[in-house]
Amino acid sequence: MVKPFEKAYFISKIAEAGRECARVYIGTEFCENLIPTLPALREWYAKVRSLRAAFTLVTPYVTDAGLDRLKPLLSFLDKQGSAEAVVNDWGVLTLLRDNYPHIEPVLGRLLTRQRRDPRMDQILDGSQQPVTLQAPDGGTPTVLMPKRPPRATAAHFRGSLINVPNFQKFLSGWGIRRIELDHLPWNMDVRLPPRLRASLYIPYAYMATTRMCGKISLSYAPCRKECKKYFLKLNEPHSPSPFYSIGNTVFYKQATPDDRKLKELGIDRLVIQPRFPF
Amino acid sequence: MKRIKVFVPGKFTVQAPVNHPDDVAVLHAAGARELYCGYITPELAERWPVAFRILSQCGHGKEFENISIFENIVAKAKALSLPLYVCVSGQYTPEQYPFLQPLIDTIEAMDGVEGVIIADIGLLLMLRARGFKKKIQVSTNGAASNARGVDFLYTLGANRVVLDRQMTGAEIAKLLDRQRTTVEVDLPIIGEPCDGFIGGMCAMYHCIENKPSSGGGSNSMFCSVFNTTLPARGCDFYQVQGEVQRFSATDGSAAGTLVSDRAKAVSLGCRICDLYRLKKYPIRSLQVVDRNRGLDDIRRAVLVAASAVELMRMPDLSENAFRVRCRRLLSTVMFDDKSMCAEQDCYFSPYWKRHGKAVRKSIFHQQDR
Repeated sequence: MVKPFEKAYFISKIAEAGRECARVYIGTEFCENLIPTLPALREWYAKVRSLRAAFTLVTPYVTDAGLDRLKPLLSFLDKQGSAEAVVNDWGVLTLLRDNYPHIEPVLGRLLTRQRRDPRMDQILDGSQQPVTLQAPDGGTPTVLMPKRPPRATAAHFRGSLINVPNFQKFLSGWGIRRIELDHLPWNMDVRLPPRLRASLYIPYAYMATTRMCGKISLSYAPCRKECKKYFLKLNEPHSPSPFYSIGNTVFYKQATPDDRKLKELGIDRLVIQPRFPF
Repeated sequence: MKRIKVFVPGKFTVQAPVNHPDDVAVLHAAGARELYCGYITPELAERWPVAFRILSQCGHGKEFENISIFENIVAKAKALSLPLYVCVSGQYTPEQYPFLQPLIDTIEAMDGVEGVIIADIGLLLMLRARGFKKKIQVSTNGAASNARGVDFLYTLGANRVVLDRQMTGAEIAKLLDRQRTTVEVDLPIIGEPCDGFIGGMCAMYHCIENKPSSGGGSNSMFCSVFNTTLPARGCDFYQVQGEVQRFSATDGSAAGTLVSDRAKAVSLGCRICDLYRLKKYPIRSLQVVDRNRGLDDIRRAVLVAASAVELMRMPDLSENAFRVRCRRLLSTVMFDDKSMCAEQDCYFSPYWKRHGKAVRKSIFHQQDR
């Protein structure tokens, strides 16, 4: 019998968990200011378990202050004995290994280093159009003709660090059995050994992040939690998807690949984001 | 692991990028005491052309493909006793490793090369596995931002870690207080090439932005859209609904419901103000970042950094006096006294905490309804 894909929901409200939800992701990948408090985590944990779903805490990249905020949460989860933590910072991984042996570490999508910019799609599939550059002095314009990248370059963009055997071995040595991936607009190449499984985040793939959200929001304040209120959508004509800037991170949207493709890639979990993961 | 501190307070060295053999002496005279540059073999360059080799996401890097120019730089740096680091700072896939091996072999065999600068954990593992004999510096694109992360890189073989550019002075101080290994922790300084996102976690490719919508000019830095756009409504944050076109780089005019105002864009700042607070820590090197600048720009940046280091050695200089002197230094050396250190343009400046709201209002007022 073919094992079905595990459906996990990355949610910020319990009502967002679908009926077929086998696992719930709680937390944040991008901002240490949004790390939940211990009482909030306890409440979440109880709600998720009442749905008979498994629990995954998502952790962001952090400063030392952020590491301190994570400690009580990890300590609580460690005592529960059956939780996962997605790590997006090497420091958090060492914290887990040194202190919380009962939590299953998962390598987050910020550390899998995929080539993500969706605007590469047109270049990789050769559908770029010529560009006419007007001369500043009104002279003869220059026409730039599209040039396809070499085959090796196209292959490079399909793959990532996770295909490097040495890195895969290293992950196993650190007790990592699962990695998190974004779905790329082009035919991505994932080559994992059987000991490593992969999750795919849909529909929002991340593209860039910053710790200076006050700069992006023009608020210049340390944190006003604008990410909870607003987002910016930019339609980029050269991208198959618009860009969404929310809080400190830029995303684009991707469709879910079909089951056959998912199996080919070794993906056995879909992480569904009903809304932006903030 | 017990940490051993052997350090003279305030004794930083300045590490600068070098792009031409003739630049070595100029940068040395300006105060650089370490150099770094890029080198790539022709085989790598052929399969992964310049536009697709990711150097600070720009793809138009300053990497030498000519071995004789590279050797010339190495020889000149050695003659001046300047340790030289070579950037191999891409993110690599398995197909590239057979081509990286000879590159690493060449670098390792060169007498005047002190070490490599890398950003890829896979490459770090490879260097450790093959017993790489020179130093390994993890670039700011390694995105280390806490003590555990820094110590982790040490356990994988890094001798030096350059911190994430977006850390505040207080965060850096806390990291250094907690660091448990002897790995050198260094700071990127002056010349932030990206004023928006964390380099090591950014997947934007500026090399592909030479498009009609951006005027077809050279890299238009798509990410700066996020720093230089203003909302159609003067709200707390921008909320744009419906069709929003791309920012027009040609005339700075409105595109869709967005307008650009580059003059009001805020930079990451030079970070020299942070040095005073950090002078008691065992930071060894200040890395003048961005290889894509011209020699004169880099030389001035080195002068500012080296002069700030000298200032820190002055006894009885208060932090406030240090900041004032640094601001003057920046205005004089970087801007020929034609412009001041623009405190209000620096993200890390306390100016924003005092005046942010008022400034924001002045930026936004034309858009208010």
